[in-house]
Amino acid sequence: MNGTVNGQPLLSVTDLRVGFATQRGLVRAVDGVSFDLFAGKTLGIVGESGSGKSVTAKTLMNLLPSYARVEGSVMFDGRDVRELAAQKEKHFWGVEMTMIFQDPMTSLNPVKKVGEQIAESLRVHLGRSRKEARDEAGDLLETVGIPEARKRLSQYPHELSGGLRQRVVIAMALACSPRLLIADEPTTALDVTVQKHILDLLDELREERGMAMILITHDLGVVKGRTDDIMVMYAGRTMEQADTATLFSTMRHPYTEALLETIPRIDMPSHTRLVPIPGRPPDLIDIAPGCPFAPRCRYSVDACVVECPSLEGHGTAHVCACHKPVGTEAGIAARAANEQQGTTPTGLDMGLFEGAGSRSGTGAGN
Amino acid sequence: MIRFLARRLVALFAVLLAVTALAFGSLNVLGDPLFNVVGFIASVDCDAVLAGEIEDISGQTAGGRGDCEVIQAARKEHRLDRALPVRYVLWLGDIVRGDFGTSFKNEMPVRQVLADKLPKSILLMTVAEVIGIVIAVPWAIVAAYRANRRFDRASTVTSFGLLAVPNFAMGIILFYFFVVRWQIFPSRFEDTDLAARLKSMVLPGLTLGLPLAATYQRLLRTDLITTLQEDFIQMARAKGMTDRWVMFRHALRPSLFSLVTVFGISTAGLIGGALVVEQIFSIPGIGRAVVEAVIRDDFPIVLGSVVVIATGFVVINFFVDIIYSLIDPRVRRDD
Ligand SMILES: Nc1ncnc2c1ncn2[C@@H]1O[C@H](COP(=O)(O)OP(=O)(O)OP(=O)(O)O)[C@@H](O)[C@H]1O
Ligand SMILES: [Mg+2]
Repeated sequence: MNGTVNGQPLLSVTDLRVGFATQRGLVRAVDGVSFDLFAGKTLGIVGESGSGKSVTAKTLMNLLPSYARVEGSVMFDGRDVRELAAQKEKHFWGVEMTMIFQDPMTSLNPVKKVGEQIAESLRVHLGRSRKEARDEAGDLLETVGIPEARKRLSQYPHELSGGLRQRVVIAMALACSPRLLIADEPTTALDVTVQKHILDLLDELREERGMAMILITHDLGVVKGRTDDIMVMYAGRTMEQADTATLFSTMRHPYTEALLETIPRIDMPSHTRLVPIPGRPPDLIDIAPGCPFAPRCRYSVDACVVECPSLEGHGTAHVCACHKPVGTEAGIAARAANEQQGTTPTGLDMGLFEGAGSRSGTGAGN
Repeated sequence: MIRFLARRLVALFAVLLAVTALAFGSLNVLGDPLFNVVGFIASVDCDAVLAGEIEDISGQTAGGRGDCEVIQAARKEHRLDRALPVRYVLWLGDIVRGDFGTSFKNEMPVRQVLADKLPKSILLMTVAEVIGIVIAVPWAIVAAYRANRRFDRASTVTSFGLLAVPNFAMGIILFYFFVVRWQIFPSRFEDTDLAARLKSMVLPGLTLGLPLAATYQRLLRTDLITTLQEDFIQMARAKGMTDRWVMFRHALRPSLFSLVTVFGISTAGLIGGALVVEQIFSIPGIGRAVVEAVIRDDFPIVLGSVVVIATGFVVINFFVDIIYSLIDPRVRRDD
């Protein structure tokens, strides 16, 4: 998907499907997701709560509960990741590929010293002695910018602030110099000021080490200018996928547009209303045949409810699953018709969007 | 940590004072200590006898003062002429010096009775707790590792089964098979050497220990399942730690709270259970001694046992508090 890099991608995910057999039925949490990630590159996965971002990440990390049904292929540097999982490969996760989680308050073991938690990877995977591991752990804490790093080694997580804890988590993840780091909303639980520090730190470390990264967030603002590519997910599917610049300049999917309207932008007139996307994501058990976003979409036409759009190309490496893409003639016409009607074919009240920082008419360049 | 321990110790002594005061007070107020010492003549109105208004009941002694002399001597000896709080303090002083008084019935020093009976009961309870823990911990770990799978379901049924059987029934069943039928274990407590003592404790220990194992297994399994869903467990897995490592190095310790708490509390229940079990397996322990003393109104023995048992309970729970702080550093905070 990134045209400039040749050769094999580091991570190649093809038609990934994940279902959970629950008492209510099969929850289709991820439904046909594909992407490639090249060494040293970053991919942002963006979507509302429940769109399947974490499940995608956990599938890659082999962290799903045993009742999960996984289909599709995940290749890491030519190795079949699901095969590795079946063989209980010991030195892959945590070594080649690792993950950090949303809440640093809960991702550290409360009863173990910080130093031990970092050192254990070094001991288990790299066979370091107790002392070597401890020294290296200290170095890692320094790397992630923790003051008085040596002293922290013998502290417990509850003695550290949230920002410091997330740094410890990052140090833990970096211990074995992984080639891919998956960061699942690494800053959502932190103060706004701390958020930026952590994101910058991740960028910096990634750059230094030539590590690839998947940055998961529900906030388009977080990935803007930070990732090489972006995949927008909704109801377990890919809605739109492009390199970051293209996505922000010529977004095609109404869902992407709606997501963007939920975050404040500097170029907005000062009193622009921020519009939460009306409605809720669909139930993932009985998925209706049409586009999952249709009931909440300003661009929807009758066809959207009947037939699910497939991912189609819009120029190089830009794909979007929509019958009436934003900024195309068809899209502009569909929205205009709905505005005239006052409601969409799915019964969505267009009045909800009045005064919103809409971008549809402008087409936002090409 | 020092401050934490100091605070715990102060609490420990406060609880001990309260428990001893309650035990001493209730036995003195609810029962009639004088009656327990001298028998029915306790009801003689000595003031009237001394004033020559009435005769005492037996009237054998010259001057007709025999009963009253006995009563007065008893009053003095047992300090019944003093106010209750004063008696309590003096009694507490005796206890601290190791003087538990003498049995009303056979004039044996209570201390000697306790020294004879107590070790057997302590051995029984220790064996029971060890059996409980040793069975429960691996059992809970295996069950939680594959929660809601076949083994776990079977263990749920088994543990509820064990809990549903009353102590005496379990004891009698074990006794019947292992003593009467197969004659593997002795029918009564054999006090010859440690091996014999331990062997005599196997069945009584199982009788008390199996239900304990079931309780502990339930608690630890549930806590383990909860812990295994925590983010830090996912994080440890994401670091590539094996299931075994995650279970033993990450999940087990933070899951021990309920187990440890109930371990502390269960010692009280064990004392009750010991009464029955000592009876079935003919162990001359403190349980039987207390039952006999209560039946015979042997006031000093009852009080002495209560004090020792309560102290044991409080001390065990003091250690439970310390174990908490070893499990979780957050408990140690000095605030
Ligand atoms: N273990 C599970 N069993 C059943 N359903 C699950 C399980 N894990 C996730 N799901 C379902 O899968 C869907 C996607 O969940 P996921 O956690 O991937 O969302 P997300 O995009 O990460 O959202 P958030 O922003 O809230 O983290 C949700 O509807 C969720 O209820
Ligand atoms: Mg998530």
